[in-house]
Amino acid sequence: MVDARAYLPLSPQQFHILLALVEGHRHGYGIIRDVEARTDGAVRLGTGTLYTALARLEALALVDEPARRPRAHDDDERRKYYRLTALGRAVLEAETERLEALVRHARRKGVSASARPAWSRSK
Amino acid sequence: MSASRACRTAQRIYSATLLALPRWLRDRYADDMRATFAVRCRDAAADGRRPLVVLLLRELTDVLAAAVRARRATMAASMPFPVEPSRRSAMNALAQDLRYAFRLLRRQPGFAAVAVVTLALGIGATTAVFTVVNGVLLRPLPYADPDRLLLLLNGRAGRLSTSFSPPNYRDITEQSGIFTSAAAFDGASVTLTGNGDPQRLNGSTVTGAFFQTLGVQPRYGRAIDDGDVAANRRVVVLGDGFWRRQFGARPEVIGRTLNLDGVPYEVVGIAPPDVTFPGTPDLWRPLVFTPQNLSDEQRGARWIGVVARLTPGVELPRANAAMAVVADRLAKRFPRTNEGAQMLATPLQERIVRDIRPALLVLLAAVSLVLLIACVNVANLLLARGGARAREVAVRAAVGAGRGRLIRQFLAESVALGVVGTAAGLFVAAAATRILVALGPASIPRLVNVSIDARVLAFAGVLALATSVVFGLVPALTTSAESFSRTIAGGRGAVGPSPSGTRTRKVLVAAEMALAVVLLVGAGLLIRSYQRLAAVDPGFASDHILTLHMSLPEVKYQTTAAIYETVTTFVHRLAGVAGVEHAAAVFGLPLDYDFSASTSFRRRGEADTAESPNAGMRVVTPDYFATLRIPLRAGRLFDARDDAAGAEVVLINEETARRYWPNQNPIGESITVGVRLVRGVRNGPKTIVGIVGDVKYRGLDVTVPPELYLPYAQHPVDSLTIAVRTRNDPLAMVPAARSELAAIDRDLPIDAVHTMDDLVGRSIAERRFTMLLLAAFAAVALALAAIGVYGVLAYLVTQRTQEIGVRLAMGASPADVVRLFVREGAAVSAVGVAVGLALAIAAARVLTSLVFGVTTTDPLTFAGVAIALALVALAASYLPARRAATVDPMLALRAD
Repeated sequence: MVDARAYLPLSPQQFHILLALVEGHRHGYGIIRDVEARTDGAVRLGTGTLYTALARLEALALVDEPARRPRAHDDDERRKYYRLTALGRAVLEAETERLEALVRHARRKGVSASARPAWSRSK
Repeated sequence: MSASRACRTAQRIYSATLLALPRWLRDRYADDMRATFAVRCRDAAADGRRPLVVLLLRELTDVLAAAVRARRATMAASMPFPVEPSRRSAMNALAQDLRYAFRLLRRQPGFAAVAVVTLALGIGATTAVFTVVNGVLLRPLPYADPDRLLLLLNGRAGRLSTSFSPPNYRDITEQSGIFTSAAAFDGASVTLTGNGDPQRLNGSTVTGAFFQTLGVQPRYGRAIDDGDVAANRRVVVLGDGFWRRQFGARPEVIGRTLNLDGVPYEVVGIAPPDVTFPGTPDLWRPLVFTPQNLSDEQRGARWIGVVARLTPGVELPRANAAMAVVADRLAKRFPRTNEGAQMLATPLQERIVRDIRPALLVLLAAVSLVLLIACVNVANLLLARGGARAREVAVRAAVGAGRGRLIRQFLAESVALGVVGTAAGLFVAAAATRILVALGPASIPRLVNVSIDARVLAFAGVLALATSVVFGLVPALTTSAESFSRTIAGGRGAVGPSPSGTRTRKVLVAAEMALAVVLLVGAGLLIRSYQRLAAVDPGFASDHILTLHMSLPEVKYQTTAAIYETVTTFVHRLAGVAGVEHAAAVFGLPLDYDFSASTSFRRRGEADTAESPNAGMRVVTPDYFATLRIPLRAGRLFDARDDAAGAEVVLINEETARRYWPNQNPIGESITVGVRLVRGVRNGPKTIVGIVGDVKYRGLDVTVPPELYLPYAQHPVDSLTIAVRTRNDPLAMVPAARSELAAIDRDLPIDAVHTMDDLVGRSIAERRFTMLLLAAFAAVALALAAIGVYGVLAYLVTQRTQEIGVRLAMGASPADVVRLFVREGAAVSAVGVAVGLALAIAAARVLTSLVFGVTTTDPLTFAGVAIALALVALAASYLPARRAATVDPMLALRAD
């Protein structure tokens, strides 16, 4: 098994995309909506950002395209679906662990969590 | 713009932006990205226009930023990912340059705004005109394999027409063996009754293979086919516009019955929206030939159009050769009608746009010149800023930036301007296109279907890059060269403007003046042509005339007596209405371009040959000449004698007399006309009883052909125009006309209600449109050129403040200083005007087909333009010169 830690750190966008795929397959628009809802609109992925990030995640085999498409009532032939690979899940867990460790270090030094989360500055 | 249309436009722009992405990324994700964007677009559009625009702008920047990132990554590593961010590369430097450029622009919002607005207007106008050119000239017809669709022509050389006789149509399409299918069509307007008020519809009748030949599938239902024609079925296919207008776009209308000219027709199909041939019909009905129509005696009766689809593999020259063989054979067998008659084909698209093509291309060229002038102005702005930035550039050069690096930085700045200018220009283009479509005369084919598509976006993209280089290169080269050399040379001059920069600016302004001259000359020539045209004597008085078209359905009006009775009763009742001077009926109103009845005729003792005289043919009631004030030149007009039982008579125009009875008196001669307009009436020899003045029936710019007039009493046609001369506003007479007609038959509609002045105006609307647009472009060019002259003079004044101070201190008067600078401005302008006039002489040749009554080297126009530009240039120089004269010598000398 490849060491998931070799893929760290993830960019905030990549992290959010992987997170959006934890519950199952989604298409691009599904990911955008999930991230937006989860962050209360703080992170809005543009299609350019989303798909370059997806391209990288696919190139690294953290995400792939499922062989069978889920059936949706508004299914559009052109749309691709994306799912988390086993490696992707492992990397997501490793990144979460890394972030947790970072937060722990900060807390121990008495840094409080009042600052905005890092990703909100990315836009 | 509706939400869905706005959405489609946004999607097109988005699609085009995707081209910025590296290819590998695009290949894999572009479809998906478009699908995702489409959904977001729908959501945003549901909330209104603003969210949509916000979404579009955000997405465009996001995609462009992602493209830069991805390309940098692609360049930095041979593999797409991962990236090694610290490595410097060409892309990295470009991205850095662009970022720096954008930052600079943000810091100088005034400069940026002026430059961007100038570019946006130039690019927007150019793109809008290109959108029209694209939609009208370039976009293929919306039919299957449109290149193979041909329109057939026949007639003698120089007099080719699109009208065929049914037997000739049958023979040429069946015997030439080069068409996979062919169809005949005829324009035939009809009256719809039983559906609210009776209304006239623009109809067309077509043979069974018509839709198959075009390669068009109806949107709903079926097309008219051979079975309908063979069985003479009363079926109708509706046009998209009429279907939406009348039936609210409901497909259930299929199967319903429409009452057309009193005959029930079953609706069997709805055509797709972009099928607008022939003309823009509201509906298509089957065209059924009677055996009589197809008989050999009817070979001279040319009244149908023919569209054909060329067999794959056959090229046009071979098709024409094959048609010539058939035409020769027919000419030998039927010399009376077919001798010397050629038959050939022309691509349908070419034929449709033939008349408008030169004007559109001229407009495109003109608007491109405006864009060029805008570029020159922006270049001047950049140069001015270059002077101000000399210190910064000097510092950069001093710390080791090479000249190439500096040029790249300057170009990055102009590209940044170009991109922003084009983005803004696209919005200008969208608005301007809508204005053009709204203002464009209805006679321009396909104008309603014009829209911004991928080709237009690609065009705008190319414009953005090309303009950036055009306006960026000169300043980049000049500024970098100066700063560079002077940094090396050292000295305090390094921060001031330089002589070579001044020279460049003067050259640019002269070039701008030259381009403006070309545009002004073009506009001037068209304005003069339009004036000449508007001053043409049409041969009748068009003021105070109301015209309306009426047509009597065959089912109800079966005898010529009934038709004659109804029409003359209506005309007499109208003449009795208060405020009406004269009323008349006419078959073949002036400037009615749908009308084209003409006939061959024999003079006394002559045989009927292919060389027989030919003339236009009009049928009128006696008061027609009084109504239109057409003068009688000799003999008499029609009167009560010339009724159905009276001797057959005819009037001719002056041209007929000149051409066919040169130096003779035609009055009293008799002729026999070949065409019988009305079934069952006498068609024997007719005596010429009078000569009337020539009338410009076919357009003010067309020479008057021979024309014959027949008395309505002897040829009671059932579809005609009523002309009424009124004492006051002719349109105020419409209600009276309607009620008079309703009193006779309440099912008779009147349509095509116009004033004669309106018809005259329409006949020159296309020229007016071209002229106004060109004049607008020329005005913009003039304004930009004036700004250019002003700019360069103002710059000279600031640059030479010190010198002015010295001159004033040495005793020069303020007037001397003003003269000095005005002379400088005049010199630059004179060079520009001289070069421009030379260019204009060459360029005006493209206007040959658009001018009327003036030559393209019209001295008056050229002189007028030269004087006008000289005055504008003087005014533009005077303002900065006067400021120079107010310089305080002491302050000027102490400065710096």
